Amino acid sequence: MPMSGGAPMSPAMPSGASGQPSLPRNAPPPESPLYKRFKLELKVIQHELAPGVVVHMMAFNGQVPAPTFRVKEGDWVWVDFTNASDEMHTIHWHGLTVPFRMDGVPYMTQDAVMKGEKYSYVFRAEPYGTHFYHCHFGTIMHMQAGMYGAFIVERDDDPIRKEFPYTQDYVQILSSIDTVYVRDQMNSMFARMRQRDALLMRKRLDLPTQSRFATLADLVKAMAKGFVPPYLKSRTAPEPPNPNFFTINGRSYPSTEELLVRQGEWSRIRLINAGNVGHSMHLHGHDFYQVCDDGAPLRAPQRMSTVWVPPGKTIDIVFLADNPGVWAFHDHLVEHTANNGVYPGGVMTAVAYEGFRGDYTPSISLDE
Amino acid sequence: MSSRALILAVALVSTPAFADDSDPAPSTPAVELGFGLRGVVSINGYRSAAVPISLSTPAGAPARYSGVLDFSDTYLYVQPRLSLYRRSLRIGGLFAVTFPDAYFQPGIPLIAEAKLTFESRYLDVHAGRTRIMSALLPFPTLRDDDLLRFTDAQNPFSSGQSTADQQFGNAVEVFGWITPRWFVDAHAENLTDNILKVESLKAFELNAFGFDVGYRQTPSLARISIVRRAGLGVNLYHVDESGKTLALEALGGVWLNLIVDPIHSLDWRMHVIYNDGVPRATLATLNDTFRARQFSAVTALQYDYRRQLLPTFRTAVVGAYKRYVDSSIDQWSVIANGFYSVGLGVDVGLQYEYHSPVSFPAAFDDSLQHVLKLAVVGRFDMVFNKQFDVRDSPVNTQSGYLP
Repeated sequence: MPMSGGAPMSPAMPSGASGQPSLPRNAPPPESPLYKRFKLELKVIQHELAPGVVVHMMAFNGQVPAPTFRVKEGDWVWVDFTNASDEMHTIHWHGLTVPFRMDGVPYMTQDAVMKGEKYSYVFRAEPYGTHFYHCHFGTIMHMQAGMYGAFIVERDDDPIRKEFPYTQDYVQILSSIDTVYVRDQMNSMFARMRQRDALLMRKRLDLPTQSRFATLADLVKAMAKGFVPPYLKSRTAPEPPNPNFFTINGRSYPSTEELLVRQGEWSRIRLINAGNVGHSMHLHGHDFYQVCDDGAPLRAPQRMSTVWVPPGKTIDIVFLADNPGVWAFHDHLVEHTANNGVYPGGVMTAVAYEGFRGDYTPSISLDE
Repeated sequence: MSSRALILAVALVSTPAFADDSDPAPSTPAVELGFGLRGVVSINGYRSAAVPISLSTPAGAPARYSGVLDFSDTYLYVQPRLSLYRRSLRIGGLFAVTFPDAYFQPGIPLIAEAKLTFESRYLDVHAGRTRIMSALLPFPTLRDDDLLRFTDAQNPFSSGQSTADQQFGNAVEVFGWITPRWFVDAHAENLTDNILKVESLKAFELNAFGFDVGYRQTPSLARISIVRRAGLGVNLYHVDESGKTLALEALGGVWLNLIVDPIHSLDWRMHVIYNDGVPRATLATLNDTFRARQFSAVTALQYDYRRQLLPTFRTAVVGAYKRYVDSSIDQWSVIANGFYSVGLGVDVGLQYEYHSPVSFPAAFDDSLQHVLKLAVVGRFDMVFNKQFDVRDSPVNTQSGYLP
């Protein structure tokens, strides 16, 4: 899903979020036509993971996953991010070698972008390959809640296409969600942020109230004066997320989209793990080649039928459609191919040959 | 009538008749189980007046009390919920026990809640023993019955043996949610003469009815909104006395933040009740005080300090006034208290109460005038196998309701 761009922008870096940095060194002037310009807006939506399973999620431009960026290596990219939600966010450009102030890590490279604020991320698209972006504020919840999207840096002389002349180029973002955890965290974070906003408006939001400290020594000092860290048992019951839905591009089987291929042609699948569990992706009826790891082309592509995609990793594979049919493509950690523990579901889809007519018609199964 | 009540009373703990073993369910739906405790323990010290004041001292009690260990209002509940086939529908139950006022049969628990609940996007239905809709607002007193005579509609059928008569009953309640925060409700109750009697569980003759319209801000956002709660209500009681079939009662309440601040908040609330009850020139019994035509008003100011957004300290002053119209008897009380949080949901505090002396007949001896309570209050709520959100959660109210 290509990103829409080209909207007119103000010539100067927008004001808004405190700490908006100046342009990176060597960047073109703000009004330069050299920029590929994009807008991202974050809001909370209702999203259907699978038929009958609707949850609140956090959506860039109203969609889960977020829009896919496709730019050329070396392009200057300008992204205006507007936070239209009640919670705080940042955007981290995962795998891209952006300048320090554009890395999107709250309180390490920038302040969090608060409700109604804007922040502009300006950087050069490099290195080549499959990368992604995600919110880095409240990451454990915000990524489960859908704040991720693909960022593809292309080259005219694509080294993969030279060796494997693919005609289809698919992006599959793998993720997982504990729907109850996300809902509860959204509720508590939503209330917390509204309270902080109220204090900020009165210019009375101090660091300890945000559970922020300049140094570890400051934290220890504050604890001596009565500050209670939010991770202590006196403030929270340990409830780590335990995902019950596993998704490809924000959907669980049977809502996942099939990958259509043409016989005799190569296809490329960019696997991005934006979740917090690993996925062992297995393609039936074919071998494939792993050609990239974290976006970087491999010197010697590996032939395999199952590839491990750990959290935070991108893996690119290519395969030749030489065995007509409708073939399962799924996570072989089978608990991830279930919805609420009911198999089949989750990270499961099919590679379907265009025009294939076999002597068996696939159907959808929900309870095996 | 009694068989209907019996079904309501035992439905939560019995096996439904249609769930026979020959048709075992292929799988078990997700059942969420809420569990919680409100614990209140106080040491109460008294100075008694010469004339009766509150309704919480038993007949025949000595004129002067020096003190008592009071654990009344301690409340324990379980609350199962599960989804029906249509995913926006839920059914559940609430079962709770509490300890009624310490001066009456202390230590004997009361079944405070034993009801079935049905929830949908726009409609909630409750049926069974429940905390009745006798007040539109809570007040910041140590116990919710500290000013019960002023804060709650009075049960005209109560003999006065327990303050719980004013709070609990067997009821059917229907709530319609116009928006996530605005609701209308209709309720019908069986109010009993003595809810401590086991027979009260089986009583379901409807003798009270009511309607309310109200607004409730999401609890976790209440400190940063101006209006926390507001409502109007009407009750009808089937008193059937002195040629009067129904007694009409009107209620109104509002709860506002005067200082909208999540750390230093100051709120004010006011609740008024006018009961055009049975004309009573004299008040000879406790029941007379519940039936008589009367007007009551309660107001409170509360300051709440939440250091770093955690409960820290709160203090409140509450004033209450009542007039029995036909007998021209006035009654008033003032409560001041302060609570310090030693943990999330755990407070220690001190409450002082002054109850004005009034000239009730000596038929009911009730003479506490100055009361000092040193208290420890604890509350926790847990949900096992958590599945469902609450209707007025921040996300549901801001981003669209999801069951």
